[in-house]
Amino acid sequence: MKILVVDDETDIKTLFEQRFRKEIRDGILHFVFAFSGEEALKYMQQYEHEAVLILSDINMPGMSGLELLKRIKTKYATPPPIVMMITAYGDDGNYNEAMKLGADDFLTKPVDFTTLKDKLKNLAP
Amino acid sequence: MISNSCLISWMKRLLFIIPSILFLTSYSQPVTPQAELDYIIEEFTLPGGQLGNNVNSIVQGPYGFVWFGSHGGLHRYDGHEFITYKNVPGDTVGETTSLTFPYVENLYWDQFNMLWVSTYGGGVYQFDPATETFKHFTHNPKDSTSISSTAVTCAVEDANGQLWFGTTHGLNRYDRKTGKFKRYYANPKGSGSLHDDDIRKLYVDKQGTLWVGTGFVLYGNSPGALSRYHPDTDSFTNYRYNPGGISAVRGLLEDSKGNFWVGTDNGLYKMNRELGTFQHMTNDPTQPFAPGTNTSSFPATYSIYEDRKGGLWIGTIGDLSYPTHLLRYDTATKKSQVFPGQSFAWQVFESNDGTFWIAGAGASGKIIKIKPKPKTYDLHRTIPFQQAFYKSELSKKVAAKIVFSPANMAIDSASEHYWFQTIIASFATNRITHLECVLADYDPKNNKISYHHLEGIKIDSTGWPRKGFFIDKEGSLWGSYGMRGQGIFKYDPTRRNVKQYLRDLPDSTARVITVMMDSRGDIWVATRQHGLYQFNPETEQIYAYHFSGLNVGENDSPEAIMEAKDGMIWVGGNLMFEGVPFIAIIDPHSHTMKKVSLKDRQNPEFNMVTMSQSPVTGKVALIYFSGTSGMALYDPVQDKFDFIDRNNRLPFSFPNALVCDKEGVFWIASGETKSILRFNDQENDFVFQHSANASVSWGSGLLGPNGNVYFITDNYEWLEIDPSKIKPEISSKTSGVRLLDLYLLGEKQKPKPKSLLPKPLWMLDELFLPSNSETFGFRFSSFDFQNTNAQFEYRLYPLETLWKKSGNTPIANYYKVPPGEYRFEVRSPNLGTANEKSIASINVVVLPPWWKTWWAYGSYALIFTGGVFLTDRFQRRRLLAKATAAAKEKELAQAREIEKAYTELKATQSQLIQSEKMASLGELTAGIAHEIQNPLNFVNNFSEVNSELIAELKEEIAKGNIEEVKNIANGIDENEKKIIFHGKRADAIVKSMLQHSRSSSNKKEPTDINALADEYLRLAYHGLRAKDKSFNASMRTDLDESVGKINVVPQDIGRAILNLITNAFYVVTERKASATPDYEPTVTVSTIRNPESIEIIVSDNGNGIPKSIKDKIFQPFFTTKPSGKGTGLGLSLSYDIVTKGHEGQIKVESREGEGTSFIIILPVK
Repeated sequence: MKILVVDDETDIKTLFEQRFRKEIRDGILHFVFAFSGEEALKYMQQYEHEAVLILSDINMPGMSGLELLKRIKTKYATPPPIVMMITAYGDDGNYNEAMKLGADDFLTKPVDFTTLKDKLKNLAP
Repeated sequence: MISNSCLISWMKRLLFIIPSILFLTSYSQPVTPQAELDYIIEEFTLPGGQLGNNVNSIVQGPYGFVWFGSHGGLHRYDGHEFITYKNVPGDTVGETTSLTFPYVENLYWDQFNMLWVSTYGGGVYQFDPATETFKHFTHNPKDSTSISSTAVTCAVEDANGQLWFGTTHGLNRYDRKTGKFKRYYANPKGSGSLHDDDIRKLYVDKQGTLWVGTGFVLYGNSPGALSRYHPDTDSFTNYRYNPGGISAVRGLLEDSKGNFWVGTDNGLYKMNRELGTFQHMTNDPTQPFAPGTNTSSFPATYSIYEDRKGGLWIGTIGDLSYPTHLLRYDTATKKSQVFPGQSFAWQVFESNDGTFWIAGAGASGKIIKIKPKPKTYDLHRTIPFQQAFYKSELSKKVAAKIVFSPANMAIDSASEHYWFQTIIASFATNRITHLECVLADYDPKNNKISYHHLEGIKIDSTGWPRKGFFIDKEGSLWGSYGMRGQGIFKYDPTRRNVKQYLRDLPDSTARVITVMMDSRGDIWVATRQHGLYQFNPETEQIYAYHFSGLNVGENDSPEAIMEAKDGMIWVGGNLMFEGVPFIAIIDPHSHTMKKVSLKDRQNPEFNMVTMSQSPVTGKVALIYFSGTSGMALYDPVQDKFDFIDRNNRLPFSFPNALVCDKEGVFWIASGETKSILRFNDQENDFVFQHSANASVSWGSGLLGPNGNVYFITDNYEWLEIDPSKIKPEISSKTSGVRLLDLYLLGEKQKPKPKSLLPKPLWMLDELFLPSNSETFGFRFSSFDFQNTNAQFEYRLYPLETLWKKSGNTPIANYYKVPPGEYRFEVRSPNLGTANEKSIASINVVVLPPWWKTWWAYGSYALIFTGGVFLTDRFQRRRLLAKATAAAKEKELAQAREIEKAYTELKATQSQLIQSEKMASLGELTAGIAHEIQNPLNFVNNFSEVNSELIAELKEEIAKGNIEEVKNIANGIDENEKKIIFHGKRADAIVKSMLQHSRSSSNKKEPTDINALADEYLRLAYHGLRAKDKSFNASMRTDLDESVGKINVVPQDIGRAILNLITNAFYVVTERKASATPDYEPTVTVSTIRNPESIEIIVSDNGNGIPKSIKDKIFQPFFTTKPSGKGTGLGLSLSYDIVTKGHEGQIKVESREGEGTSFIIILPVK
């Protein structure tokens, strides 16, 4: 399963690669990283059918995670990829907005990787 | 049973002519396949079984109902329900109570809104829809002033308002005054009489001439003719298309072009009324599409009808072997559509909503309903972008090979070339390795695509063709990729030369969001969080506009730019003033700005994506995004916004692009349903919906030089709309909601004079209900004959202010409504049609019961005053004494109130001061916490990873897998470095900002003033930045090292300094909003040591304090910030801390336009 991770903190890449070492090694999960909403959209345009799941931060400079979510959900309709939002601001406003825009899940930072792992495993074919 | 006899005779005739049909069939045209018909055909059933569905006549009266006359009575249809009028048992012929003879042959509405019901055997009835009563006229052999026959076939009102009735034996003129009929018969001997008195059609043409069609087309024994009536001589001229033989006429029509069509037993003729000649329209091989040519193999032409689009409908009759063909001849395209069918097309009728009704008369027992098929349009245009690139010269030169779906297009009006702005890329696994900016030039005439490389524009994965791509007068192209430090580009295609402009406005961090070229050639460039720039390409002069309000954190992100009709530049985007989003209207000459506020849309995420103005009405449509996207229509004349979204008229969610065409019609694209919508704000109608394959790109609408509208999609294609070709099929104007019936306690009320329902409900404006009728209900209908599933909403205003949904049940019920005046309103907000006119209403007055009426109250009052008068005298003295005492008591109570209010005020004041203390720090803390949260998360996460890795490491050591052990160890090492890095990052933030929190006492202690000032400066800066990533200002310190430590309460002095610093940041940000781009907002904190005192100076380069308010700034509750943004206590609190708590002074030095310095002077003891 291909997962696109979007976050402006570049160390998120190392973190995910370490956290999902085994899954990556075994070829169960496959991660791609984008460090801005714009970059994520560009990836999506080229590999529309490859990324099944998108994990996106909300508070990013430039295009925010919510804007990215909106564009993904409106643009890629058949079927839109699963989008999980991750944010440090776990407030109602962000949650409601994300859900309104069609987010499939909403996680707060710090990310509980055990939960995330379970969620991803359930989604994996 | 007359119908049976006529059928039988017609069958006989049919047998007789069968041999001749064999050759006639060779001329017959095939029926148009269902898929190619512009209409949908449905069978329609009336109540009353076979008889009720043998319909001879269909009309639509002045009240909107469709009326059907059948062999089983008269039927009224409102789109939902039928009411059938037929003979009531016990009624006798000649009385006025019911339709005693229910075999209806013809229906006719006269100018007095009376419906004339002609029956085939029972004479004629005058029906009054207001009273629902029939008046009967029939043949009386003994009375020569009665109608000439019981078999009445047709009726017409002539230009003088006289009514004519045709019967199978004689023509009649009816005198409304005397109630008598004058008969006209055929008289073979006399000239000027009718040729045949079997009358089958009466018609008055546009000149007012009465035409009489005689002879029954299905009988062979009726000679027939077309007769013209001369009112001056009260005589007729007869015309016969087949002078020696049968010349029966049944259909007559003068079309909108003045052609006079005659339907006969021998097909269709066109008549020249001046010369009296006929042109036969049937079976002319040289005119394959002339009307009449392909009507049928059986040529009897009955009904001729011209629809509202100028199409001619020609109905014929047939049987199983020779099916009836109904034909529509389009006079504009000269093409015919032939409808299949096996019934009589006895009458064709169009109701005012555009539905066609075909009466089958006695032979079929059915009615056919025909409605226009929704038209589909293919708007997609595409060219092989990728293949063309592989073949291009450019692909040999650059590494990038993959063309992205273009995000912009422009049309060169001179060369008629299409230009597309896009990027090309090469990819490693999962990664873009190389990007180039390119333009594709498409020459539609030669079908040639060439690529142009925008050499020199740097682009990485954050770049993208930004909204707006323009061609200037010289043919150069302008646009942007939104890359930092790359500004906008100009490309000259003839010299293949790229020039870049505005690369460093206001600094290299600005990203371009939108580019727009106005009609004078100025380029407008919107940036994210850095305002708008007006650029003159000739002089290269730049003018900057900023939109952020007075408050830090408000936005300066224009996005939607539009040139209005009057040359003003309208700017929308994420623009806020005092928390309210606004549109800026800029005068490009004087550079002044006007603001239009959207007061009820106070959402910091409110962003306007695109705007377009109607050249007709001047209204501006905009698409906004605020959690979800919607559309608004702004009327600049009334300064009014009309928000149109999924809940209010817009038939879809997520509009994402719009453009207005030259006729003032808005075209709106939806990202959700991938459809295009046509919106006419003058008619307030949404009508056309088109489904696209792919999503239209955000804000991509373009009005081409040819007047066509273009949208680009994200799937290598664009949509092209020719507005002149896409017009709404039917206007929903004519179908409106109407009230039909009143129910009292569940019982339908019949209209009766002098009752509470004096007329049918649909004729009334007002209804008076007695108090025992406070439980009532209404039935209504949408009169929408094409969609019988219409939805309704209703309310009884003002008892109910909200609309109730009734679904598709056209009934509303009310129980025990209190006495009062109401207005019952019902509307049908149908999908796709949003006509506000479709509201029906009636005033409802529920009367009070008799003991609550005015005269009842009057008598109560009379009794009451009598009683009062008697007791009054008796009590007056006692009351006077009591009143004096009460007055004294009142005065005392007032004094106590005032005292209480004063105490409350003081308590509130001290609460306010407390809240100011909390606000100044508390506001910042949230932001700071977030700043620390991020590094802290990494520390936690990487530590967790490492403990996992260490466990794995142990396993691998046990297995002796040295290679893997090395790998894991490297991983641990890498993570450890990350932990240290993020730990230090958090440490730095904490150290620099929160040192002051260690001391919590309110005691004076020796404090390092320089450290304190520095800390609070950072605290303020980071706090504001965390709140708003776009906040930016320079902070400087100039600290005198000899200041050292002095005895102060560090928290208090810290708070005083913090207040001054946040104020300073506020004013520089405020100035930045309106300043030139070279303005650098700066806040400086400096300290100075004097012999007896120290000074802490907070300076800004803001606008300065006006002299007029300089004296007031330290007063409590004085603020220049917008209400809700400041308590007005900050400076007064600082003043108290310094002067009262520390025996120091605060001074202010300010110059308007240069800046302000606040100086805290503290004594050194």
